[in-house]
Parts: sequence; C-alpha cells; structure tokens
Amino acid sequence: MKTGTSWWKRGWPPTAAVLLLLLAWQIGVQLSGIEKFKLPSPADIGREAVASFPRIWMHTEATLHISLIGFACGVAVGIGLALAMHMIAAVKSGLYPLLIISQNIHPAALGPLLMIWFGFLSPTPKIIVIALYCFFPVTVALTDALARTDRGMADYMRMIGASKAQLFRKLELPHALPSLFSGLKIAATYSIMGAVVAEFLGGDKGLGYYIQFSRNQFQTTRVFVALFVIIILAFIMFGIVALLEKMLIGWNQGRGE
Amino acid sequence: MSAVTGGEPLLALEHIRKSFPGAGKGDAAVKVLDGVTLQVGSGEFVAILGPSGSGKTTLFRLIGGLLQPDSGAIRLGGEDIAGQRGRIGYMPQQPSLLPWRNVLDNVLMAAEIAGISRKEAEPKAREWLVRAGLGGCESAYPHELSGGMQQRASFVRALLGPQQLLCLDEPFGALDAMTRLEMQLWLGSLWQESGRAVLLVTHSIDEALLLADRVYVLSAKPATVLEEVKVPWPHPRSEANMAEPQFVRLRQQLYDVLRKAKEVPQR
Ligand SMILES: Nc1ncnc2c1ncn2[C@@H]1O[C@H](COP(=O)(O)OP(=O)(O)OP(=O)(O)O)[C@@H](O)[C@H]1O
Ligand SMILES: [Mg+2]
Repeated sequence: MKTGTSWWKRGWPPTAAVLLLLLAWQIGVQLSGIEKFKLPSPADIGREAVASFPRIWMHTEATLHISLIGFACGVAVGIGLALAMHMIAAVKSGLYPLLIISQNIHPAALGPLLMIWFGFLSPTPKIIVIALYCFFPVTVALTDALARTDRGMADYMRMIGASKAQLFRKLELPHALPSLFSGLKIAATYSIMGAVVAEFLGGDKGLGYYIQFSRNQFQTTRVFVALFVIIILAFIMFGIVALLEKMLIGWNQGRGE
Repeated sequence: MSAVTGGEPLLALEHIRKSFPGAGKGDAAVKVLDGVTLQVGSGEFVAILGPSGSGKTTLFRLIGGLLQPDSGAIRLGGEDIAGQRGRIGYMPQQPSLLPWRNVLDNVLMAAEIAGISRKEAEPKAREWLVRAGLGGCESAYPHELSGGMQQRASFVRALLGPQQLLCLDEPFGALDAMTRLEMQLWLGSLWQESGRAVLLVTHSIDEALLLADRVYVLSAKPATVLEEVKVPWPHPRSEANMAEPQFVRLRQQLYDVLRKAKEVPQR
C-alpha cells in the first residue's frame, strides 16, 4: 500500500529519535549510578507504570474527562468570539486587546480566586482555566483566516449575487477551515496541559494532583510516569483533531506538492 | 455612434463617470472613468480594448453592482441596474475556482447562487463540461488542472448561470501564445452555441478582432471611448481570417488609436 509505506517513511525518524533518547537515558543512569529518587531510568518508570496502573488510570480518566470538557467549552467560546468579531467590526476592535490580556492572567493567580468563588472541589474552576487557554488559538486562527479571504474570489461571489450568508457559508468558512484546524490542534495540546496545571491548584484527583502528591512523597518515578501519560494524552488529542481535519478537509491535502 | 444590431440594446452604459478618493488625506480624487458610453446587443460579442490601468475592471465592477457610478446610467434590458448584483455572468481575470470544490461543483456555483436546483443544473453542467473539453475532469480539483483548463471551467461556470450577459475580464491574459489562440477559437465557438451576449475586456488587438462583432477602444485614465470599430467577418472565424488584408488594416488602425490613447497625459 502506498499510504502504508509513506506512513512508515514519515514515522520512522521520530520513532528512532525517541528510542535513541530513551536508550541514552537508560545507559546514562546505569553508568552514573544516580539515585532513583533523583532520576529514575526508563526501565524503572516502566515497572512503576505497570505496578501502579489502577491508580494512574483513575487519575488519567479524571484528567482526560476535565480536559475534554474544558476543550469543548474553549472551542465553543473561541469560535463564537471569532464569528462575532468577523461580523461586527466594532466587536473586533473592542475585544482583541482584551483577548491578549486574557492570555496574560497567570493560572497561579486565577486558580485560587476561582476556587474561592466556586469551591475547592468544584470542576468549574478547572474548566474555566482550561477553556481560557484553549479558546485563544482558536479565536486568533479563525478571525485572521476569515479576514484573509481571497479578495478576487469574494468579489466574484458578490458580483454574481451571493448574499452575505452565502458568501460566508460557501467561501469564507471553507476557506478558513484549514486555519481553524491549526488553532484546534494547538488548543487540543493546551487542553491537557491546562488540565494538569488546574489540578495542581486544587482538587483531589487527576494527573496534576497525582504529580504533586507523589512529589511530596519523593516518589520521583511516579512523577515521571505521570509525565509520560500526559505526553501520550496530548498526542492522542492532537491526533484526533488531525484525523478529523483529514476527514473534513481532504481537499487541502496534496496541494502545493 | 453606430446603431446596435437588432434594435434595443441588452446593456447600455450612458456617460458613466467614476472617481476614487485619493490615497492620502487631502489628495485629489482619482478620476478613472470620464463619461463612458457603450452598448451591447442581445447575443452580440463586444470587446473593450484599453491601456493598462484605464479602468476596464472598474467598468465591470460598476456593471456587476460592486460599485456605484458617480453619474450616468447602467441599463440592462431597459432597466436601471446600478448597484444591483447578480444580474450579469462574470469570468474574472483569475479563474477564481474554489480549491475545495471539484470541477463539477465549481461550475455549478453560479447556478447555485442564482437559486437553480442542482437537479436541473447538473445535467447541463456535465454536457457543457464535455463541450469544453473537460469531460472526465468532473471530480478533479482545480489544482490538478492546467491554467487553460481552469479558465475553461471558469467560463463554463459563468455560462451555467441564468444571466444573458457574460462579462469576461482578460480571461486569457495569463496563458502562453499558443494556448491563448486555441482558447480564443474555443471561446468563439462556445459563445455561438450559447446564444449569450459577451462583453470581453482584453489587451490584445488580435483577440478583439478574432472574437468580437464590435470593438471599443478606451483612452488612458480618465477613460473615454476613443473609437468604435465594427468587425465584418461572420462567425465562426479562424486563424485564416487573421491573414486577410482587411484584418491587417483594422489591426493597424486599432494599434494607432491605442498608441494615441497611451499618449493622453496621465493624471
Ligand atoms: N478601489 C479603488 N480605490 C482607488 N483607486 C482605484 C480603485 N480601484 C481602481 N482604482 C484605480 O483605478 C484605475 C483603473 O483600475 P482598473 O483596475 O479598472 O484598471 P484596468 O483597466 O482593469 O487595468 P488592467 O488592464 O491592468 O487590468 C487604476 O489607476 C487604479 O489605481
Ligand atoms: Mg483589470
């Protein structure tokens, strides 16, 4: 199969790079004799992952759950804001600076405030923190892409009598889709990170909570297990969005080759 | 000015003036069209020749309703259509096909916007694609076509709209000389089959003479009509027409007018 070989062609360099890195790590740890609580070897991490699987899995589920909710909220708000800014110029000039300000609110400051407002164990503060970081790349990517629709094509469409709604549906939106998906991919990756950061700040479950808990007990190996799970989750989120992109905008593949 | 063949003209532009505000604050307005008057009859092929920047695309944007004239009237079938969109078919300078639609869906666009049902439009689209030499390309995407094929698709798209007048803005400007000639002959034959009226903007004297029933020459900006020439040969025409002494004479005449047109001081 052609797609099979091309997948292998693209897939082997990163796979080899990661394997080499893990190998170097393993050898380095063994040769230097560094203590396990400072830096565990990949083999230690693997054994720990198997040993504490049920607990890790429980926390992973919690993180994934809250990430998905936060991601969905962030994307919905992000798309909504982009559409509002696209349709009403005053909204755009008024909101854009606020959006940038929103990205400079540090979760370490915001998180505790949200917990005071919504309660320590409530999922709402976490969802807000995740959504805050997910909406931004979506809004920026979509707003800019909508503003950058090909002038010649827009003129053509208006000339032959397309209404504003037709122009949006048939030209501006499909034109902006590849860009929207770039934003969604960034947001998908942020959503896991955002969830972990939010779990750091409070609550009683999730990988962020698990990392903090294990660190306090000097269980460094467990911290590393959690880090690996986070990386895998981020890849999965990214992959799902990339797959959706491929299904929805296949026309964009193979252009410019 | 000579009468249009067949009585009441389909399109009539009367003393159209248009200027744009200057680029900077306090800059004088740029006068682009300075009283342009021309007609296109039903089923007629009319070409507009003019130096670059003389306002030909602006003229189309006025006819298409994207711009309002400062003064003058734009009539289609006797009705004032200034500022109305969707009344003419259009083939832009670039093919402007949507990259996410295949050829068939692209050529259906004009019909779609006009509210013609797909069931009604699709058989016609397939038929015209075959006539345009694009049979078998229905499900190809624009980036898989050559420039000439994209322009043919763009023309078929304009043709499938319900409008009686098609405005073509330098459709073959980006093609090489051989492809260009081939496309001109192709356009001439398809136009005849279609029964539509065509208003074609071009830089090429030969293209105008090969295709049009009448040719208007515009001056440099601010544009006025400098000359109107009738082209006597019946359709369909061929390369052989281009060798006739009268063709050569007309070409020389238009060339002289165009050269003078460029000498008009640009303001
Ligand atoms: N929206 C606009 N605002 C200001 N000036 C404009 C605008 N549109 C066109 N012009 C000016 O009008 C003049 C004519 O432009 P136009 O595009 O109609 O020329 P054209 O005859 O189509 O040229 P070409 O043959 O190169 O395509 C140009 O000098 C241009 O600077
Ligand atoms: Mg032009």
